[in-house]
Amino acid sequence: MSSERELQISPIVQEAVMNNSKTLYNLQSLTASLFGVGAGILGLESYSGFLFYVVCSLLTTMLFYVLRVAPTSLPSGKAAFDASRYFRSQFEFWTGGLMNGLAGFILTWTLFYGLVRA
Amino acid sequence: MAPSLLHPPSQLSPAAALQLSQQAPAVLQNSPSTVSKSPFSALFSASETPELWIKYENLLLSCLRTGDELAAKQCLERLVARFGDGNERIMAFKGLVKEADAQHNGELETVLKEYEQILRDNDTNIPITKRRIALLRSMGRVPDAVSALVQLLDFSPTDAEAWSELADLYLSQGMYPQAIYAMEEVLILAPNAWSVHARLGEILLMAATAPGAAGASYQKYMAEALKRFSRSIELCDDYLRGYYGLKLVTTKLLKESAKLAKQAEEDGLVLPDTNTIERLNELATAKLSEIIRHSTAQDRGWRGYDQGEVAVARELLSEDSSAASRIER
Amino acid sequence: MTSPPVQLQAITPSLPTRRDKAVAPFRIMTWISKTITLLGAVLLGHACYSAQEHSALQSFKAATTTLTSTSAVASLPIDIAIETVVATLVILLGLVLGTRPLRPIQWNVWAGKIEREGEEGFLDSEGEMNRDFVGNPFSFLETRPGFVDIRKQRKEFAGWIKNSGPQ
Repeated sequence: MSSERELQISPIVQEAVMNNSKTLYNLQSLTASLFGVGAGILGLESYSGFLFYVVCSLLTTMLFYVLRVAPTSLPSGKAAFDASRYFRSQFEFWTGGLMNGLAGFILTWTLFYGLVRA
Repeated sequence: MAPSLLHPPSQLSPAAALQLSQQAPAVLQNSPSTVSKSPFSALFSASETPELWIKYENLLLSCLRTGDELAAKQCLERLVARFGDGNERIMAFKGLVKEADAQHNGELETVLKEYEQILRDNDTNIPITKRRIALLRSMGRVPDAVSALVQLLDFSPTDAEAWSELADLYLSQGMYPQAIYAMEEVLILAPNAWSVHARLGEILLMAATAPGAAGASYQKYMAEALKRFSRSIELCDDYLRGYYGLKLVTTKLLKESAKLAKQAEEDGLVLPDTNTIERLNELATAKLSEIIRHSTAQDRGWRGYDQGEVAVARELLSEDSSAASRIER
Repeated sequence: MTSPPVQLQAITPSLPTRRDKAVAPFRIMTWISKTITLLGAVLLGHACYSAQEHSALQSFKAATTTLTSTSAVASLPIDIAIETVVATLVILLGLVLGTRPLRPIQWNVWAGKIEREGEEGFLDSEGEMNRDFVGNPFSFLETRPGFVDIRKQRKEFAGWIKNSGPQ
């Protein structure tokens, strides 16, 4: 297998992968709850609430990329929006947040919706 | 800054070791001497962390080195109180303190006898086995140390540290092929260790320049050294030591290219052609001068290099450039 | 050699530290991040309270005057909506700024960072040395702590004290 051979030649540091994905995961679950609070206060219902969540979590990843990944990744010759310096899977980096925080989002969304409109 | 107490102190400079050992009174005072095992007291005091004991171990080593026996003994007492007399690691530390205390050879012999007694009771005690080997080497009985080490490696062949020690022992005796073999074993166990690749390259270079090596074996050693240094910089960007070795090897090869080109190529390892070597040499020069420039200017993100190593690299480059200008003239 | 520790302390000044310089930006970063997050939280709390008061008022109105339609209850005044969105974004910014620094995952980049930056590159967002950072993880293969020759180290140290010593 050529990819296995490539891994032998230029290995991946497992601890760094774990450190990075944990950082991103923590941020995503924390912000997802925050978006739930926002959606609850705004009184969003059904599809508009989920749309709010999708937009916000993409925004989070974008902000994370701009503030944390881009400053070191661009000078090292990576293309824009390429997070491969810190994350193995691009798809996971950009969309992983949607799944990670959904439960937390719905929890705080319903909670604050109920609190505000009691 | 004071070096962290969480890292083993053996490679530190004397100044850093001194600084560490001066922390001893403060550390000993501020850290708990014993940790109670009852769950009730855990409610009131800070919980036990592995770092605490690592700290004590490293403090012990630094204090022994700087001759602060009092603090060293205190550290040891606390370690013994926590882990008990029978712990293999603790036994090795106790032996270490005795070694440091020994004034003359007779006392060392006694310590050695104690080690042997321990090993008779339990010959799988690896820390003590290592201490015994180190003591033998320190007393100048290198052949004994080698045979003991080989025995240990028969018993636990996956101990990279022991293989590395064996390589060093062989190297100190000038037995290059054996040292190279042992170093290759280390690389099998830790294939991505860039510093080990560079170290093997250095040993190969030593073997090539040793008086005994000639002809085919010389070429083979040089080719392999070139390969090892190249791998070390492939595994680690901006690796000063790797580029330094690469520069040495390629410069040497270029000087002798006329003589070497004719030689046979039956061996598996063939030197790359002169063009490639020249390009490698240029790369090493460029990288070394970049590292030296940044490191001398203390640029942000370039402060990790050892100043001594940088100075040596600068010397090599200036030598090289003066040689080049002489040829041009 | 057995020099008393007291004497050792007398002759050494503390070495100049280069970490102090390195730490400052990290400290400032956390400080900024925490301030922004706190500011956002206050804004969000205020928005939440306003929204709640608003809906209470609306339902009170709805209960007293049966003329108003139910749709008025659901709609939120635009200023509260804007405040909520802004507060969310401000907290988001604060949280992103407060994340730990990432580490390169390619072996050569990571190793190069260790060699080039030393421990300075691995401070976490508090400016403390990361606990699991060990420098070159293979350095033990060359220093071999299990085989340390303590007598030689002591001799070397004594020689160093005698010859150069810390000035």
